[in-house]
Amino acid sequence: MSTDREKTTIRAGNEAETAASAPPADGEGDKLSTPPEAEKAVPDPVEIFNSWCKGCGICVAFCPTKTLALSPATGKCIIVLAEACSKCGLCELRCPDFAITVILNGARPR
Amino acid sequence: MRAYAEIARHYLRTNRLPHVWCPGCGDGTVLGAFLRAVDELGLDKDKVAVVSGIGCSSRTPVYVDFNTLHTTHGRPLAFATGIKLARPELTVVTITGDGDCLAIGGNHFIHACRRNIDMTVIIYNNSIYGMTGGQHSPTTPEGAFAATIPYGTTEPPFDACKLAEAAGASFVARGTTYHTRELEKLFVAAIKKKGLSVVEVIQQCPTYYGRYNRMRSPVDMLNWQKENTITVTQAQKLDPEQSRGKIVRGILFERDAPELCENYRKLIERAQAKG
Amino acid sequence: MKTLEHATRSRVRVVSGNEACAQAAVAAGCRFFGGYPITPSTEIAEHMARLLPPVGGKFIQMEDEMASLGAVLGASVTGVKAMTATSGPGFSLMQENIGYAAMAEIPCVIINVMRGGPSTGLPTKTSQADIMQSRWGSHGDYPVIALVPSNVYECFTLTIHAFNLSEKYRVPVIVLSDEIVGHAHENVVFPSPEEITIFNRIKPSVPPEEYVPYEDTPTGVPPMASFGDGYRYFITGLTHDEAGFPTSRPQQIDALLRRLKRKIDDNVSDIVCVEEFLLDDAEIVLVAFGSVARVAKAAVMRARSLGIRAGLLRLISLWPFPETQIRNLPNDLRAIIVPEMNFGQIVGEVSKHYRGKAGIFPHNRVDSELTTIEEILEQIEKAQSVTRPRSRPRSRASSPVRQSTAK
Repeated sequence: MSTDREKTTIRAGNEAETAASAPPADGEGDKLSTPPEAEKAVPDPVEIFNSWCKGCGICVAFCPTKTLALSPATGKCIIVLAEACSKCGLCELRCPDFAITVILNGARPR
Repeated sequence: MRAYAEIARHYLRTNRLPHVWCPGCGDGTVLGAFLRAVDELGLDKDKVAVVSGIGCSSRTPVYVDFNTLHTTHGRPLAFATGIKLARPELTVVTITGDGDCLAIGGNHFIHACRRNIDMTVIIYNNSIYGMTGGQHSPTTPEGAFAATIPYGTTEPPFDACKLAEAAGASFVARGTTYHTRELEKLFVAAIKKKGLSVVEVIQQCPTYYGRYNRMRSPVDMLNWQKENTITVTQAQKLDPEQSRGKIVRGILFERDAPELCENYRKLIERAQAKG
Repeated sequence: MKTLEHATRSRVRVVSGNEACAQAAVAAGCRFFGGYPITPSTEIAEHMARLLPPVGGKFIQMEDEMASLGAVLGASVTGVKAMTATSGPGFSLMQENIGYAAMAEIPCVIINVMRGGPSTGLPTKTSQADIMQSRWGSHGDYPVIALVPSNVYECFTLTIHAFNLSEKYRVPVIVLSDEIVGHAHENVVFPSPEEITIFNRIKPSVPPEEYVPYEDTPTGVPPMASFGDGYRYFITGLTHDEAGFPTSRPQQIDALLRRLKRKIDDNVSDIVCVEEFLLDDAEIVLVAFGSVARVAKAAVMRARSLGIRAGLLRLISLWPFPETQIRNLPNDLRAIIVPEMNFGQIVGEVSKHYRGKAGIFPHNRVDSELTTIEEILEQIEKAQSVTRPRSRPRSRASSPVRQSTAK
């Protein structure tokens, strides 16, 4: 059963939005999909395994805080509103490809 | 908060990923729920056997770090029966699809239910034959289209859960890939139950079923599951008019009944006592 | 196979061929039987149902023959020796899973008590018409071993041998009995357990993380881990790599299929089994198997008493076919006669491999009645009047041979 929770979306600064929507470096293995060079206001709340993501869009559609989007360049999942993430875990729960994980307590899983 | 994907990855053969399933296919979601159920139950990987037939969902055993057997089309329940009867201490789970289990495997399905052997059968029901390109299956609903029904259906579908109950299963449940957390709980209950447990999972095939039936995106198909299914409790409370056309999900049927391996164990004792 | 000279009188019993198969399976260590009733094999299932529980074995009557072999293969992957028994129509249904067993290299024994065919045919009488089916009944190129008993005692010894070969080569082994042999009741001296040689599949000697389930080995046979023993691996009927996972790479497919073939081809001398009866000086050779071979033997003895130098090459293993033994038959025989209760399924193989000049004469009976001594003798006598291709020195056979008058 879904647990859609209404969360107040924190408006990101323009800077962060622009940086996040730039084409991400398409990497192999475990890599964050946001460009490392960007000035990040907030650390990535989730980790995306690019090589496993197939760009189905389920995580994006079911994210209650609109944290995620599909990259126009690669079609795969990217973080667009890091600070909005409530770490509800719905993306991780719903991803059919095991390609996204919520980062708990600041530490990267695995 | 549990790290769902991390738990699932503990039980995956991660060097075989990314898996073959299409973007948005429900197979991966069901797999995740299943692996979380295994974790919840604290099962020993060495003592779990996962058996499958042929089809998209039957590709699952490639990806899981258990004793895995990918058999012939429609026959996984026969192989699984042999595994369980020969070595009853193993937890045996059969992964099968609507075509594999209910068409070619129909006979083995009803007899596995009848025997009430202590195994779990997960029927991944996407109402289509995905692997072979989108032909209709015994669960394709009336009014739908598929590769071999370009003009529409002429046959009604099965209700796999009613079939399982009538044939003698001890635990019959239905879940969906939308209701992921509920699905995980159904798997836990099914595996725990002594006897033949059946969990039918309604899941999406966006590539074929979706395309043939104007639901191209997996998100649309998941939302369809949300809109068109109701729980057992809801079904009891609603008027027949309100619940018409809705699919009921949850634990639909449960009973306690003598189980095959236990029966056979007693038979051996009797035979050996006879001298 | 050890001899039974030391068996005690108390172990002599009159049993049917079918019961002998069942007793042998249990003696060989079989502890799982999955089957479906079909005449004339049903007694095998009934005996197994009775014999297995006292030794802790499991018997299950499945819903059809596909499920029967499926259950057998499931049991086998857990390390338990398993068997099924059937006849023509059931054997046809099992073909897909026979191919699976061959591809996945799962040891199993399948007894096919041949009956009249095709289709429902004549369930209560015999034929020998499933020979080619036992080799090629499933689709694709796959290895299989087939043994054919011709008496009740051989039902016992060859069933044990079938298990041994199956475990040794990780291949399905078919025991081609027939209705006559299966239902005949004969004296059998049952060996004691110490007199029986048992072979068990070789298990991996390396820890699980180093196990390569389908690796090539000097014998071509990979060690087989049992489900539940800590080796968590993947078994499939798809073309697979050495780790067992599906592949579509030509190099890996070629390697796999060639290794499966090599498993049998390289070990032919271990697998092939024939009986040579009065072949040394024979001018007319009968090539026969199963219940017809008994008749052929009697016909040979009758012919010898008439002064005809006849001999019998009895095939005990049919697949892999005893090519060498056929090629070794003398070039200058008067004739080779191949009596079969079918339209000629072994005679083609004989022709394929025989390099000599003798004519090869099939003798086919398909009317459900066992070939008679008189029929075969008639063929032998016809052959006796055939001029031999070229003269050869008299053999050093002990008994003088009387030349028969040409008819």
